[in-house]
Amino acid sequence: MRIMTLASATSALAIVLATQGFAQEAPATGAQEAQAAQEPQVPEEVLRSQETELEAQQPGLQTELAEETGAAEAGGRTYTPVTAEMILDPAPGDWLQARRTVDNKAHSPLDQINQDNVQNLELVWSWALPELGRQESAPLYHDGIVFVATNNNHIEALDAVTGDLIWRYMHERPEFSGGYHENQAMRQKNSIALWNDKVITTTVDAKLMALDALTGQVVWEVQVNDWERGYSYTAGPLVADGKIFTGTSGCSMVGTVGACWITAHDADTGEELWRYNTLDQPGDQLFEASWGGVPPQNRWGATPWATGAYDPELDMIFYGSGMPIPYAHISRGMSAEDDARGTNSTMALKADTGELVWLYQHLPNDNWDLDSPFERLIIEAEVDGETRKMIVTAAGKNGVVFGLDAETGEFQWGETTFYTNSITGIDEETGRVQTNDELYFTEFGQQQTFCPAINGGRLWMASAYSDRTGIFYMHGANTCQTSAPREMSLGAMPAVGESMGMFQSFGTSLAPGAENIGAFHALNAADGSKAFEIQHDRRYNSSVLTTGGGLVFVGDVDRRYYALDDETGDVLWTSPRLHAPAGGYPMTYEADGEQYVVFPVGLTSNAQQSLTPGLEMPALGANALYVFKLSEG
Amino acid sequence: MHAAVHSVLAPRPAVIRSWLSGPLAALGLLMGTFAGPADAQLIGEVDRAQLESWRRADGNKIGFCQFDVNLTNEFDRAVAEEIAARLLLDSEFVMLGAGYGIDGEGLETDLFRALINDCDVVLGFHVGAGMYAPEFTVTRPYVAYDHMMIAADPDYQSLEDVPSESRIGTMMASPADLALARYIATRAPENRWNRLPYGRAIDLVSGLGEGTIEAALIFGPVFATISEEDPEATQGLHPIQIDEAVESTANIGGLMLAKSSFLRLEVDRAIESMIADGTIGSLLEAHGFGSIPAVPGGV
Repeated sequence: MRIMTLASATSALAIVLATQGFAQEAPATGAQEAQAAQEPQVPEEVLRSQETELEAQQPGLQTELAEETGAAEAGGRTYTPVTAEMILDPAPGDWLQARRTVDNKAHSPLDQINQDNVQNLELVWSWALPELGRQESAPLYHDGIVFVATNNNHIEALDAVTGDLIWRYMHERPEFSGGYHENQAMRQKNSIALWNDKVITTTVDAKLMALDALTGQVVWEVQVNDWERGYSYTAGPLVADGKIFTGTSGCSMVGTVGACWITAHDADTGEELWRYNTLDQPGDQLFEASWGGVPPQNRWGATPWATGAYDPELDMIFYGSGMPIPYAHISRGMSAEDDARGTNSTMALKADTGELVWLYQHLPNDNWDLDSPFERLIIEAEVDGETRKMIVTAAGKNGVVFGLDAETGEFQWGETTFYTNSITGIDEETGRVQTNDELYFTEFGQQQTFCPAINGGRLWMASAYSDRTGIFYMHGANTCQTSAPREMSLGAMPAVGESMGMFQSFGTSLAPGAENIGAFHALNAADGSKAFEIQHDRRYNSSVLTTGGGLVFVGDVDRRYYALDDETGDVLWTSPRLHAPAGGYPMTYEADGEQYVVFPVGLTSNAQQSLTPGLEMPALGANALYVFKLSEG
Repeated sequence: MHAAVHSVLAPRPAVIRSWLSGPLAALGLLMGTFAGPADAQLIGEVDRAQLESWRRADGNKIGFCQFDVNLTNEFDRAVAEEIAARLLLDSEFVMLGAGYGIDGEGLETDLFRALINDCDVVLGFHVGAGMYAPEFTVTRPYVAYDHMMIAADPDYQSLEDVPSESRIGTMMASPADLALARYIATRAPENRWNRLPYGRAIDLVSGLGEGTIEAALIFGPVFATISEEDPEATQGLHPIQIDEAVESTANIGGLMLAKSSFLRLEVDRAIESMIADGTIGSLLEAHGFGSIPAVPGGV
């Protein structure tokens, strides 16, 4: 096995790394160590220029696995490869995937910061991310490094204690023709996961890539789908069982007609193992019967645009899917009786083969873009004296929370949160969701007022669960929207998809009975009963984080993060006013024995300012991370 | 990224003098004030860092955007060059990519950004009242096209020859699609066809050839262009009589920022003069649209 190439570098780089606190464990030469110890006074800017020069001379600085330890080393820093076992049971201070664990709980057992001392949080460092666009980043942590991906798939590795930049990967992509991919590029979500000594990422140009975790260099890449047909990724990979699972985006594009994909890949090479089409399963009569005679080559939607979940006992993965396209069934050439199977569903697939085990539809025949792709949580709870493994999810924008048996998909319970008129009920015996057919559009141009609005309700901001309380936490907005299906507006475009106009909107309003826009809901995961609820005069806008310290962290569009009591919802701490709205996925980690909390902030398009009296929004987003820990005093 | 071309067409003062009441300098001044973000619905969805917040020094120029996939681009451009000429302005053209989802997600914010940063008018839009977000306004139409009913079976001469329960293809959410949906709804259940919306015109044409559909409603200039550029694709296809109930006309014009009201008025007056003196009709002939249902000035 090879040993790191850096050993042959000159001592100057080692000094740089040492002064930045990088090199304590590096197998640097004795001369390097001596020089580092003797010359800490060298100005940093000089050292940085030397570092740059050295990197230019040695563009092939590679991560290598040290034979003795199995740890990767580069730049004077060691890195313990992330194993399959770590992914299933991460060290308490680690955050290896978007929602920390593959059951998507977003729960950290860390409790150094807790209900008794959270008031003592103070800013340690902050960092501006290298791209514009919406803030939907999900930072990760392992071995002293915070990894963060932002828009255009730029990825950075930062020293977790100091906030110093270790490396930055600037993604090289094609110049896109038109708005869809440009917009996708500017709203990249939880785009990375850690595996072995690699950072795994999905990209807007539909690639799956592996970067060296210590240098950011590309190790391998696979073109999973054809971006020129419209495919892309906005959500990141799920890594488990030696595989990488991805959910495709772009399935509303004309060229992607008939196929939207969940794929599995070898985690070490990216080689594709299987793919599952969410829009069609040949031979499955339920698919045929539910699309009203519309053949697969005329179907769009069912986009699995959130990261999935994995259960090792069942060896199954769980993905959600989005709405049918276009929104109204009359636009699709379908009838009120057609469910459009595959859309707005939870799909349970065998991890090894991609074979469909069960499918549960959360909103059959959606007419309002209330899609249901969001994260599925795998939770074990005591039900009637038995431990039951459930999928608990606020699956769609309408905020209805479901408990499903993870093995069979059998309906266990369902609860509404904020107001919705999109369903009239759920059949307790069959589990079938009764979509509100009185809200269907029977004519083009017919206006209907549905709740919540297209931008939520809930959106991509992810829910969480606490192992401490057994409570499921999510948030949304109390909204309604009036819209009508309409004709296209561009003239001689060869593809109707290159037009707007499937849906014309006439504005949004607060939901009936609501006095505030923001709604935070906490439900007992075992049975869906209410734990607590918060009505808030601002829209919550970040994902939710829970900790072993009895805290729930969440932020809003008014540039604040909050720490809530995980049992009562009482606000225990409010962050200083930050420069931009909360966004992305807050995260916590432990480095050098101290617990840190990371708060992403930046641009949002979901503030719903018109429904929020007094809300002033900054003109620019300026995506950034703020990192807090307990004050030493 | 953009293909910008400056027009060298000579102005036509004889036409403009009759209806341009203010001095030309006033037009130029007003055009200079167009750039800058608007405070309306879309602004919350656009990253303002991507908007040019300064006033563009446009000089004596009007900018037109076109989408690269629009099949009537050459005709639209000729119309725009003539509009500029009649306003005594140079013209500049910017080509935009058009990769949007079926649901059009992102298009309105991109149009807003383009009209702030790149051009004054986006050409080739279906225009009508209340079709767009409040940030936008539309010019008067310079042409209207109709849809055509096309079939492969030589025995079909009209829609009534197409057996009920067979599929009729449409372009999704097009005016013809809507008209056919409404017409089908009025017929007795046993006499109804199945409407099958497509996302791409070439797939609609292929559907006829493959027998997936028995007839297709397709936009006149689109069929004309496909026929010319890919004769094999349309071989054996023929127009059949279109029932009055599914006739559907689309007025085509330009999209502008609502606050560009003065410029829009001037553009409208230029178009009106081109309709009146036969220029639009001549341009239609010159661009191969003389044999399809088209009405200069719209309906």
